[in-house]
Amino acid sequence: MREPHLELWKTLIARRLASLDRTLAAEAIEELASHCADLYAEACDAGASDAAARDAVVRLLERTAFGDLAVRRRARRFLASRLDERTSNVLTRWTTDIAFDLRYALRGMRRHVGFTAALVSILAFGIGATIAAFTVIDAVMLRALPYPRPDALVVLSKVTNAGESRTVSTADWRDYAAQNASSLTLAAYSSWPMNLTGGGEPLRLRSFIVSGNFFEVAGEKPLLGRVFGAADDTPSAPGVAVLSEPFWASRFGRSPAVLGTSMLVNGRPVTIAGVMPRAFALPARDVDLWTAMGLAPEVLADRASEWVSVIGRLRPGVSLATAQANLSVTAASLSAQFPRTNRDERIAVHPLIDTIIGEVRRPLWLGAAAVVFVLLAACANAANLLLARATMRRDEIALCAALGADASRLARQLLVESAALAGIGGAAGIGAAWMFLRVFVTLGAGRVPRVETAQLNEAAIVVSVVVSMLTALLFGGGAAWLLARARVSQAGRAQQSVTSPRLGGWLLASQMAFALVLAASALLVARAYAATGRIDPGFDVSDTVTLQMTLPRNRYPDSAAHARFAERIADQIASLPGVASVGIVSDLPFVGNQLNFVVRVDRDAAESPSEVRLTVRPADAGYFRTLKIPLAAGRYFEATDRAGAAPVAMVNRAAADRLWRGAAIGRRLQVAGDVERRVVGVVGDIRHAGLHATEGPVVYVPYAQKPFDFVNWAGIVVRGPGLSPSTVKAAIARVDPNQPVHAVMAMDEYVARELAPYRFGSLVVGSLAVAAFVLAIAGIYGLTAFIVGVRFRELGVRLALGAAPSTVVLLVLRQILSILVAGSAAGIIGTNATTRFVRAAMPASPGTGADPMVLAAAVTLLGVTSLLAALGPALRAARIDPKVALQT
Amino acid sequence: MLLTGMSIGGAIREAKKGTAELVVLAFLEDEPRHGYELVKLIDERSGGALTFNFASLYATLYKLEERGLVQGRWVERAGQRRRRYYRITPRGREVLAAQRREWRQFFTLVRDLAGISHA
Repeated sequence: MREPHLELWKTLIARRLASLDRTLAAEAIEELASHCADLYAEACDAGASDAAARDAVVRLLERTAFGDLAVRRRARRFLASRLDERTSNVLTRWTTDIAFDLRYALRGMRRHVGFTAALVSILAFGIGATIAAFTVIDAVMLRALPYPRPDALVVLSKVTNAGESRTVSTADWRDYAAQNASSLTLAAYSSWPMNLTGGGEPLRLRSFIVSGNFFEVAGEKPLLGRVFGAADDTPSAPGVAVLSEPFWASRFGRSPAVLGTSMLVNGRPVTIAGVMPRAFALPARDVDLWTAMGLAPEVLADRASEWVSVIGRLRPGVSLATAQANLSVTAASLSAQFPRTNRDERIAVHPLIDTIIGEVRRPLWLGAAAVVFVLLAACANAANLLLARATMRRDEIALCAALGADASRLARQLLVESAALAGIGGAAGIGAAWMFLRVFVTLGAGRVPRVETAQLNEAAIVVSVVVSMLTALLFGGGAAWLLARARVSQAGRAQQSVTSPRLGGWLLASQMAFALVLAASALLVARAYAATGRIDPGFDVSDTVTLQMTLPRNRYPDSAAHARFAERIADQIASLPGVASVGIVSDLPFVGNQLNFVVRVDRDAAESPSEVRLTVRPADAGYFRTLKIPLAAGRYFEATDRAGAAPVAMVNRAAADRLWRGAAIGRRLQVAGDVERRVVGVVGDIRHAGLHATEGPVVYVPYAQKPFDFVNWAGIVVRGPGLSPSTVKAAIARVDPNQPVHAVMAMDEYVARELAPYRFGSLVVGSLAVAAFVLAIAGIYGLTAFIVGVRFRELGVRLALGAAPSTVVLLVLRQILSILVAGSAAGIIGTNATTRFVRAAMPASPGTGADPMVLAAAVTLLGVTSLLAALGPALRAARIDPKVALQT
Repeated sequence: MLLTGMSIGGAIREAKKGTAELVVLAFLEDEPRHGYELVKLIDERSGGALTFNFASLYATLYKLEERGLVQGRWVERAGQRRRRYYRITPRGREVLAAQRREWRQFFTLVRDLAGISHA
């Protein structure tokens, strides 16, 4: 309903009642003004012109004697009815006042639904994203691990001179444990995939072998049954297994009767001793079962093979630093005692939590920082909206001031309004947070540890309330302060400059700076993503399918049996239509396993030492051809390099360069416990452990001459366009229907997994940057419209005086341009400061400083879109009717 | 004597003052109304003879509300500015009935004493 002069009637009535205090008189005034509006409308309906109808009302008001005490009393009665001055204390008066202000604020919101919806959406977005980001950070990084005394849990790793972290040998583990028993308890474990057979389809299990004290170190009680003790961890002890709750549920339907029963694991019966609760995720998530190591004394005494991981628990009162100092003493002593295997090796102890969240810590903080930037941009945008609206409400504010409302009273009203808006924004923010959280958890599942445990809780609600209230103070406080300072002229109108566009300009410039920083960060992450995608892994990942399997010892007891089986399945797979080649290797690239041994190499006297620790990888002739690993010198393995033939080896380029200055062909080497071999070929280095991990020296031995019986696992690579994994699996089943295979995956899927964190980062930071951009553009549009509104009369006068419309457009755009320049400058400075942070979070980020190309692209994008957004209101300014402008 | 020393105009003005509350209560008897509606109704039904001063109508309403005879309430309707509607309270009805009785007695008395009768 159009009410052309309602505010005028209010002002006129207010002036007649000017001696009244408190803005509460506004209700009485509203009622009287409503009467005037009815009178005006009736006059118009009767055919009077606007001017005549207005005169009629003005005459009525002039005739009216407002001296009637009842009307004046009425204004005070609003106050008296809700506040009994004689009995109420300060607190009740305050709460009553706030309640009144709140009702007033809510009514205002209902009247301006569009404005309220816009503001609440902006706040809900900012607050929701913030809560979701911090819920994830809390779940992943801040929340303690779900074990007793989680801070005491540590992991041990060997650190080589090259800075590589490595697993340790069993003998070292026992020495570290024995010599540091007063500081900490150490348990060993190793990933040991096993096959479950004898009941339906054979199943490959994600399993670990662990030392007898593993569960004692972890400190977790079983959900059902018992865990291992030292008695279970001997070579002669009957096999026992502890199941994980998910495996127990999926395989045995959560039946408690399963305890004490036996199952066939790797062809050997093991008794189920207990079930661990779902939350128990040591040493990894998604474990199916744990069995005791039961290592023979000679294995326990072996110092040459490094294959166990070590987890520890600090004794009460022992600090990490003390434990580290004690362990270093042991490391030095072992180094002196066993120079062949332990030369120059250091030991490092880290909190377990750091190991779990290590890789994602920085990207997560990066995401959180981006989210905070968006929240700040949202606050700036909300403040701008409020300021613009405050200007539109200047008559109302002037009326309140004319009625004697003091600055603090007005400020309180405005703060309550902001708080109410922020409160609703916060409530909507919780809903938004829930949605954002779903997205984060879905995107992060499997890549970000513990992300699946993130859920909104009381802490999130508290964060929401705090963020909402801070937002209210931040964006409402500024507006309140400015408006409360409003000087009211005698005519009862606020001066135009009460809320000058200058503050709005500053807010907008800061928004632009935030948008720019985010856009530059997003582009940087995207470039890191692209750069990672361009990393050459050293082999061809296209059109390849990979599989993994573990050969059970009862049917495949030694390397000769492994080799025969490998040959048969390679033949079987090679005969499949569409298969170009097939290869076998102990450890597939990107899977993460590797075997390290002490290797004696023939070196010139000047090149000592002659014993070095190297990665050893059994592979067949097809492996290199299938993955197209380039040959640098000599020859690949051939089918003739079988058991009984001359022992040969291949090395990678890193080994050739480091050990023999590139001239490796014909040199001799001997892996500990193996025969001496002659190097027949040199192949290129590959990124075995991941796209960002360059590989050290590697010795390849023919799979058919594999020296270690214990290496009973293998990876298969098959090349052929559009190969179906199920056909490959079927081919293996034709050779041995009881042999399970797992991790059937295309090689480029591994690459996609490697790229996933970058894609995730690009997506999160990119979406936030888009949001900040949209907010900034909306802000530009709003501010331009606001400037045109504030300068309406002035622009009208200019046009009346003959200014060209294009001059007016330029005048408005110039003001926006100055904001754009200030915002861009601040953004460039901010980007320089944040670039290092982004680069640290994303290892493949190219270059070192802020990228000028990235910055230029972001500034151009922001500049062009901003000016386009400003053009609409600026063009409207050029169409102002000078007559209308001069009448206002 | 009630009208002693007053001109006719003065007598009507005084009578209006005394009757203002009665008239407002009477017009609110059937349904709640807002101020402007009351002014229009009183004007219409009295053929323009009885008009309320803008401020004094609201002064009357406020006084009646303070005494608990009427109760005002803001009502918001879609597409309309909100208006304050007044409804008569049970106590207001009692007072209205009592005043009607008194005025009836007063008219009877005036008629009997002054020999006024219907044409």
